[in-house]
Amino acid sequence: MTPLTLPPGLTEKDFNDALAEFRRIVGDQYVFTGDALSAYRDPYSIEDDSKFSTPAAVAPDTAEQVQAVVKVANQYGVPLWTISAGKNHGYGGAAPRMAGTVVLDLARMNRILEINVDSGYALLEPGVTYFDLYRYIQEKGLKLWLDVPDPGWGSVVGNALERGIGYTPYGDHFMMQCGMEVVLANGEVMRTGMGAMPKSNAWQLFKYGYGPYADGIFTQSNYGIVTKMGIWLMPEPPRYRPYMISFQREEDLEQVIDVLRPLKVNNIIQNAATLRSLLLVAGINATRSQYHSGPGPIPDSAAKKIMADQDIGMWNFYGALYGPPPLMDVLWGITRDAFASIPGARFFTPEERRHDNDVLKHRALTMRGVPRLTEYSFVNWVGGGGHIGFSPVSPINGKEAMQQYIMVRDRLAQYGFDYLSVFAIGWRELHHVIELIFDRRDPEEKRKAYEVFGIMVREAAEAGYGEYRTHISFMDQVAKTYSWNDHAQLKFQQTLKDALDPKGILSPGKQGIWPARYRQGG
Amino acid sequence: MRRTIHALALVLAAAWMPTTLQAAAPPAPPVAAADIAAGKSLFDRWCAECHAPGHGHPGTQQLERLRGAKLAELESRPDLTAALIRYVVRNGQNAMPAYRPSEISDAGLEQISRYLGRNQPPAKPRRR
Repeated sequence: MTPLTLPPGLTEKDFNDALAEFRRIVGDQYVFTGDALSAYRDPYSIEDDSKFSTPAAVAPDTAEQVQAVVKVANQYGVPLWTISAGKNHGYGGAAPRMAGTVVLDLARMNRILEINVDSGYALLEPGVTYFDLYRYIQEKGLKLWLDVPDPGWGSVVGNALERGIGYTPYGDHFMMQCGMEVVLANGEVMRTGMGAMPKSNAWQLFKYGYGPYADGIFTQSNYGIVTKMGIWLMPEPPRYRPYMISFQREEDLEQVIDVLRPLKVNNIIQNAATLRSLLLVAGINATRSQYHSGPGPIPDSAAKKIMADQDIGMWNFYGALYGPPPLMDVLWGITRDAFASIPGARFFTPEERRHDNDVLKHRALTMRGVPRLTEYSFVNWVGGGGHIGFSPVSPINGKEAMQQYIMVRDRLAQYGFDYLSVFAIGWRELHHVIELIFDRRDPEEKRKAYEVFGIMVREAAEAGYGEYRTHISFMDQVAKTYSWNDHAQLKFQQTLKDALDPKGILSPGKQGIWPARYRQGG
Repeated sequence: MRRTIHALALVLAAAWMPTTLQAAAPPAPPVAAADIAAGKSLFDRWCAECHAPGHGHPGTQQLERLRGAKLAELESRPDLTAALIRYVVRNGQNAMPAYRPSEISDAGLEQISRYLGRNQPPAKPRRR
């Protein structure tokens, strides 16, 4: 068990008095201490657990309880780290950035408050998971689709707040967010957008309301606690056709991305499609040791065998068509002809895939919003199950994708790690999400993962590539790479932090934003 | 070589985690049908996506690799004690993350344990 670390600057008596107040608010059984905190560790941490330990967790059931907890936290100076479903795995899970921070666990706030089929939206509490919402919609027989990340065990609200991505046309989750209820650091509750008008019935319909648009500052931030959020849901389309295109050569990446750009920018490709590397796809069915037992990267001969065994390419594109058949026929014709210009390109429908456990068959579900955990198999690639996400952003440009690929592939290989990645194709950009897979039982692998990750953040920034999201171990380093004009943006974020949360109680250090109280030590 | 050693260690480990938990745990007491049903319902909600039978479930897939087909599907295993289930759910294991008491309560975890432990052989009467 990790030794108990109290919040910085608090006496044990003050801390215990604050816990007694928390118990009074939420009930004894919903304040967790001691052995009950084992599940609040980051399961995939690459540093010592003590750096991210929590002395207690508090699980309120209502926004009113959140307000009361925040007021007590202010009174005693207890820092709170807010989680929703706590499944931000690969980025820290439920663990706080700063040791001694109490976890404010919103998992019990899991009410589906409203679903409007005609206008296509849901109003949710932060504890609602994709599985919860999917099951509810299926039970009610509603003709609405979710957009899910992979895996689908996370919070709908939490994922949008982290600006996560999915795979349908609604794949940019924060873009599909509409209206929030937020508990501020002083305990006051606020509604954003049209929710600020008492009699408005357009809270989940019009994002911007009147005046400065506030919702963005509550994403990847520590300015407030979101207790309700609207999310737009996609009406079920008349028809749906998922497909896969495989490309055989490593160097095809450049041409694939250049073919993709006009298709995506002109909305010929309708969904948040993905291009997946050989080993990421292979990981759904296989482990590294089946193909290579030695150190160093998977050799070409093994890569060829994996491609043949699993009928996949060095790169594999997964997309889908949505709408009435004549529309899909036109879009597919343009898409197919564009990719057919790449030698060796092969086209598949799910029915044409020969293995039962196949990524296209799995993606045929996720690209229509069915939450699954199937693809989590790839974290077992080396055994031991550790993974963290390295996620630089770039233009949809073949040369730049190739540059990023070579940079990351070679640096990972130098440290003995394989390259597993997905290029998620956004409206105008690529999220190059690299899964650094390591054996979490092996301290030396964790040490190497930490070292190479830091190097990759620095090298990517030097080439102009910034991470869109990161693990708690690297939040400060990544924040410092967004340094234009002497870190003007970070200074602005700190100014907001000090104004909105003068006692610095909300999620200190989140995304590199430290309150004045901890800034020297942060 | 290092990977080989790890693989071997995994195979040799009789169960996923502390062997003392297995050896010391008494056989499960008889379980009421209502408890079984409640445990099954919680298993379906929290565990089945990873541990249901068939392909597409990473937990089942990985257990088959490590323990063989007979011990891959949790719902049909005869060897799962409440102590082991409690430990793995609250601490995680390899790729599996832990589940917090705010998600699965201690009472709910007991019901899951009774459901998964229902296949254990009954306790043998002591000889006098």
